[in-house]
Amino acid sequence: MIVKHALRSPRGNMLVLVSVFMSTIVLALMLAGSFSAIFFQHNRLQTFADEIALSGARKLNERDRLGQMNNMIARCRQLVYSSRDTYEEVNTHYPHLNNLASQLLDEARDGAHDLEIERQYLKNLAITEANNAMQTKFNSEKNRYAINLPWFKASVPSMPTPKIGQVKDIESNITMLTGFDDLESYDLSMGYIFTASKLYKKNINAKLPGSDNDLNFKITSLAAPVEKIVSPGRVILANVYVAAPEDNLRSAVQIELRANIATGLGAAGGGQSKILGTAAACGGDIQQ
Amino acid sequence: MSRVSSLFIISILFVLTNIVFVNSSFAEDRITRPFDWVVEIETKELAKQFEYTGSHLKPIVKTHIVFYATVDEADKKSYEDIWYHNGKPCGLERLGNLTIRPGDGIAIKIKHKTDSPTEGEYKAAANAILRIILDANLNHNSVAIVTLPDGSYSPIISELRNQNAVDAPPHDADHPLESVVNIFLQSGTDGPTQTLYFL
Repeated sequence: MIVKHALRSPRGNMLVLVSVFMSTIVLALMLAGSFSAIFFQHNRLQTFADEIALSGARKLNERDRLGQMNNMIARCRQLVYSSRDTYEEVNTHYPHLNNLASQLLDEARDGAHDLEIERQYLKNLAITEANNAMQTKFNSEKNRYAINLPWFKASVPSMPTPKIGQVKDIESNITMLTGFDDLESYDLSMGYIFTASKLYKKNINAKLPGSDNDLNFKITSLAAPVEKIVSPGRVILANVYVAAPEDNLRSAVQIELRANIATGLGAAGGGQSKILGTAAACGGDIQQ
Repeated sequence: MSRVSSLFIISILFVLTNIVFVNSSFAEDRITRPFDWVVEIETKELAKQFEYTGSHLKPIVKTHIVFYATVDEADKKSYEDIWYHNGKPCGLERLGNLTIRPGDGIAIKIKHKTDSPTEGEYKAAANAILRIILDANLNHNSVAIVTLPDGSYSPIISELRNQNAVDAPPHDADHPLESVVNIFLQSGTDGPTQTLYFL
């Protein structure tokens, strides 16, 4: 006798399986979509941050004003040194020329004072103009980065006050000036010169010896030309930006963009995205 | 007197006459040009220096100073560059030593890069003249003459006066003229002349 076992009806199983499978697929796609959206938004914000930083960095050394100032400071130093050297020789050997030598020395020292005042003015001007350029760039385009989708939301980014400093390990753009052997020896002994490249070091106050020690000759960090080719303003890695001494000219900027991001998947997930944009000003040209 | 003796005497006279003539020419040349070297100061206004809002250093004038022997004008040696703003020096770069033999005479020659020099260039030229005169004195060289382009003659003299060079100071038989530096200026090669003094 054959016992017919009651068998489950196979009808309807595929529907359940497909439903579960499709649900899983859809969930995975939604997750992937969210991550893609986050990644996409991150890239967009990074590009935006780089553009903002570059707009500020280009403004810093616009028309090579920082490079020219650095170059003129070094040459003002030679002017004062030369005038003092002449004055002392006159005093020792040709006292009848004292009036003329004294007049020319006073002019040179006045020139150094005026140049230092102008350097400070230029520092503040460059920082202000760079900040304005970055703020303008940011304000004109920030609204484009807001996203409002059912599964992904990104707020309009905000930008705290940019930082304006310099690039790590970049010396000045001034090649050591020759012409006065004693001054050359003095500069080397004082550590003013980066011996490998013969460039004046960054962030130094290259004071003169003797009676002109009261004058300031502050030299700032700025990329030097290489075989007369000037480096353009460029995006750099965030970790090569460093703060500059307060009283120095600046040659790099770093900005931060912050945006709230939320994914709407059941239990909502979200947080704040922070993006850094960093750029260096164009390098200094040779003295005309 | 034999013919040979006559010819000999005539030859001697001929040679002596030429020697005197040459020496006269040489002496005349030395009088009209009593210098062995020329120090040339060329001024140029730099168009693209310190171009920013509120700049207090624009425009900058560069003076490029070279020197050469009068017998070899092609061999110009660079001495120094000096940068000025409104006649006040703001930078100097020494390019070489003033390798002029002590005791030799110097002429200073002013040139301008363009045909229409600016007021800043006149001021720069005047100051550069004073600096070169001082350097020449320390090198034991006398400055025989300062030649100026025709159109710059009056403005540069005016600027020299602004920098404390004076016309002949008061003097008489009991109080002779005393100055430490005499500056003899001429417009071009045969134009008007003027002497200024630095007391």
